[in-house]
Amino acid sequence: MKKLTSKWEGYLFVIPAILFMLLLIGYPLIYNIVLSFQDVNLSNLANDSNQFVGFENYKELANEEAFGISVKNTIIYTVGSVVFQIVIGFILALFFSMKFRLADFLRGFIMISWLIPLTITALLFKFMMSSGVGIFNQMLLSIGFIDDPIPWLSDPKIALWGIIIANIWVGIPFNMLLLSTGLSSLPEDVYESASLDGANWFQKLIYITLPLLRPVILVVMMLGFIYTFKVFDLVFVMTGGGPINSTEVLSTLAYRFSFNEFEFSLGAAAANVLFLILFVVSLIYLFIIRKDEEA
Amino acid sequence: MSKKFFGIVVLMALLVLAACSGESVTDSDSDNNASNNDEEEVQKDVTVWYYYTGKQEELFLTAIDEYNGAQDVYEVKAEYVPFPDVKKQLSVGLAGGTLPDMVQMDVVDNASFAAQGVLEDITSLVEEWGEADQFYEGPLKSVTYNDGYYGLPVGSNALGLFYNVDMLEEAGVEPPTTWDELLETAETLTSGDTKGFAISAVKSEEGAFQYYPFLRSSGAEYTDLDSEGAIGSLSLLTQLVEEGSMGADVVNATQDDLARQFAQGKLAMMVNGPWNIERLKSENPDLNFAITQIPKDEEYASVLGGENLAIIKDSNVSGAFDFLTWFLETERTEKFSAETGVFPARKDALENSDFWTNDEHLRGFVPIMDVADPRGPSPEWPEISDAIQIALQEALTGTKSPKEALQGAAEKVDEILN
Repeated sequence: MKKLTSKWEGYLFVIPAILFMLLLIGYPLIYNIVLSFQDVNLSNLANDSNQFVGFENYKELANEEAFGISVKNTIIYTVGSVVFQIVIGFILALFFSMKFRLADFLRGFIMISWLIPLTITALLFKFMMSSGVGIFNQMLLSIGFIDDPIPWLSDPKIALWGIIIANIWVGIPFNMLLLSTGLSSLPEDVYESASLDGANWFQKLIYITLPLLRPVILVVMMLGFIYTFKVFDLVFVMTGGGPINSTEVLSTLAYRFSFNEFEFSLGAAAANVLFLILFVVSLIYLFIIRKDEEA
Repeated sequence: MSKKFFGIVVLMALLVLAACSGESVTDSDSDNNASNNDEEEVQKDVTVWYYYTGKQEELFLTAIDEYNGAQDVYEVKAEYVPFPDVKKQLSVGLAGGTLPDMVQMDVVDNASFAAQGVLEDITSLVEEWGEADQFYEGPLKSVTYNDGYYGLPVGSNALGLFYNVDMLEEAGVEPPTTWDELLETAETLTSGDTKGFAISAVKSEEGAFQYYPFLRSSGAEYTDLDSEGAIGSLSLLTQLVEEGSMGADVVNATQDDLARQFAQGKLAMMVNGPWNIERLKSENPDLNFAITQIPKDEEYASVLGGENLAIIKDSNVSGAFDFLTWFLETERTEKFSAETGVFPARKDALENSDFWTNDEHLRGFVPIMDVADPRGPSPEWPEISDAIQIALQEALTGTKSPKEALQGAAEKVDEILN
């Protein structure tokens, strides 16, 4: 009897959280899914005579030239950003784990790029990457690395990488912080015995640090992926999806459909594709974590 | 046991959800009822969404206070909605049943909102008022949809050619008047860091806006984008980039970016609008610049910008229209426009005053106002604009030839319109 009561009590404590989740997360999510199966635009937004149109919006979306491009761009953008963020973040984390004088201060200092509002970062990078007076080109030109200024954001073939570079800069501190927390929690004794066995620095890194850090790296990758995949502000401010569609990503496409062309259902469909991909990635992550725990 | 309980929790939550959505439905219902009942008497409150900032905002609010003090039939209440949010807020308001009675909007959006049934057809009221013929043709066209009026223009602007007088004098050239002269002059003025000419070809409405004068000058329309004239206009801009007289990064430069470069002396000529005059003066007080017509092909052309006040469908129409016509009385609109350094949409207001013809910069825009065309007007403008922006960027980045780019755009526009 006593056990039962405590069980009930437990559930009571969970109710606020569940209600909160359902209302604030579940409702918009479900509304968005419903919206994507209807034909809602400005003229029928107010009345409730919204027609169920099945997968029409998704078909229309698939026929949009910009859709395929934006899926491809989103994936390139995300993978490119996350890979470099983790690699550079990891190198910096290793660097700061050497505990030299001012290491803690500098590590905190680097966080600044994470603290600056994204729109400001975007404007700064847009300015720095402008082909005439931008500091990127000035520096590269002055060290003789290039002969002509690189049109960072105005060449359709390069623009996406311009934004990726800005995003790498933004994401490094976050990755570094999580990874250095992970590094500092690794057991010292393993390294000691490895030293006794004659392992060099590189061997310790490959055979001890990386395997032990695997769960942390997975989390960082996962968070980085989600955070980067739904990018909006950076792209919107730096290029607005241009030149042509070369930097259009799923989020800016969904925004354009919804608030420029007032095709709310089409926008919702694009947003749902974004959500679906993230959902699948999250499931894969959960699967890997579970396997890790079982092992 | 636990499963059952979880079921109950979910059920409860769903009930709450249902209750929530139900509530919002009844909310908007009661709103409608309320407005219906009130219409029989006189509905006093008139809410208006505006996006004026700075001096314009100050004077607009002063005008509202004056209006509220001068009569007691209506009470106008103003709410600020930032310009980039107007369209978003309108759709949110539409869904939630929280629309104002009147809304300020960009001239280019008026037709699409009218077509979507958001705005009230005020044709009979405007005809009764009888002052529509005092307005500039372009601005008035922008409030028209299917031969009806869906708002009134309150302020206008257009694009002109800004040129750095000192730089042109130094190079010994006159401001260009034709496309050939533009090519030549721009090349002469380009040296080192300084570019001869620029338009904003960014991927947003601004890009389409800036390209429009060139399209219209060739005699082409947005409905015949694959015509010889249209192709000629895009070829001109492409040639300017190829020859280096216009920077390749114009595809990523907003009109504000151009103004900044122009103020710093990195640009000798640019296409821009009167709203940036104050910015130029404040960023570089020594800048010696003037404004003239954008060089022409067949005829001088420009594109119309500015703002309208439109009345929301089934709202407090009589109150909103009363304030609107009061605000647009010749002297009031003249004073409001002159004090804020913009153009009135009424021709008689402009002709009444020598403010515009005397201002050393604004006077450049006086002849331009006569040739300024609104974009569209088409309810499908956002999509058409998108096609134009893409074609512009394809040509300027060398991804496609001007001809191929515009053929693609023309196909898209055909598809959109049919």
